[in-house]
Amino acid sequence: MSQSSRPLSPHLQIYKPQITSTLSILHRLTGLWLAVAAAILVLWLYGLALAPPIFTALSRFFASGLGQLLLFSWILAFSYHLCNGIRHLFWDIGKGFELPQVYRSGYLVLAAAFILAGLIWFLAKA
Amino acid sequence: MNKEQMTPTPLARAIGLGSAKAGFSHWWLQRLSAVFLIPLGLWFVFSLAALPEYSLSVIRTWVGEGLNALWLWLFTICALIHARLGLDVVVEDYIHTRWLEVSIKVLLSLALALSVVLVSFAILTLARGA
Repeated sequence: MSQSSRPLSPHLQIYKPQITSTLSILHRLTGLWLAVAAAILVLWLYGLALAPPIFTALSRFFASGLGQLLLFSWILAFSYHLCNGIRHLFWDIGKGFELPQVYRSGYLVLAAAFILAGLIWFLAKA
Repeated sequence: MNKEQMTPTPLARAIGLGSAKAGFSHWWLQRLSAVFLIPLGLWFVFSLAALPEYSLSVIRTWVGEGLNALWLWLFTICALIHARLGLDVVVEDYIHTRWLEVSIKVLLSLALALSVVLVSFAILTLARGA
C-alpha cells in the first residue's frame, strides 16, 4: 500500500468493544498463537523421531509451571478457534447472519470452547 | 472500428475476468483445510489426552499403532498449510511496507517447506518403527 495523506477512518480504540468485534479479533489472535504451537509441534515430532534430547528438553519444559500454563493456553486457543471456525463455515454458506443469531452463536461458541478445553484438560490429567 | 482496436479502460479490461491472481484458491484452500482440521484436530488432541503418560516410548508406540501415523501426518500437514494461509492474511492486513511484506511471505514459504519435509521424514521414520 502506498503511503498517502488522505484521511483515515477512525482507529480501533475509538469504537466500543462488542461481543462481535471481540470474538472476531480473538479468532485471529488464537490463530496466531496456534501457529506458534504448530512450529513447536514440528520440533516435537522431529525430536520424537530423530532427536531424543530435543524431545526430553521439550517434555521437561512443558512439565514445568510455565509449560503447563502455555499448554493450557494452547488447548483453550484450539478449542475457541475450532468452535468459532465452525461458526465461520456456517457464515461461508450464508447461514446465521441475522444479528440475534450472530450474538447467540457467539455466546454459544464461547461456552462450547470453555467446555471443550476443560474436557481435554481433564482427560489429559485423569 | 472493431473491438480489438479500441483501447479499453482498466475497468473494461477487468470486467468479466473474475478475481485477480490467486485469491479464490487461497480462500478455498483455507476453508478446505479448516474442514479437514475439525475431525483431525479433535482426533489429535483427544488421542494425546488419552495417553497414560508422555514418555518417548509411549508416544512412539502410539504413533506406530494402526493408521495413527497416517492421521498424524495428515493433521500436521493440514495444520501447517492452514497456519500458513492464515499468517498470509495477517501479514497482508497489517504490514504495509511492501518489501517487508514480501520478505516475511518468502520466509513463511521457506518455513512451511522445511516443516513439511521435516515432519514427513519424522513421521515416516516413526511409522517404520525407529
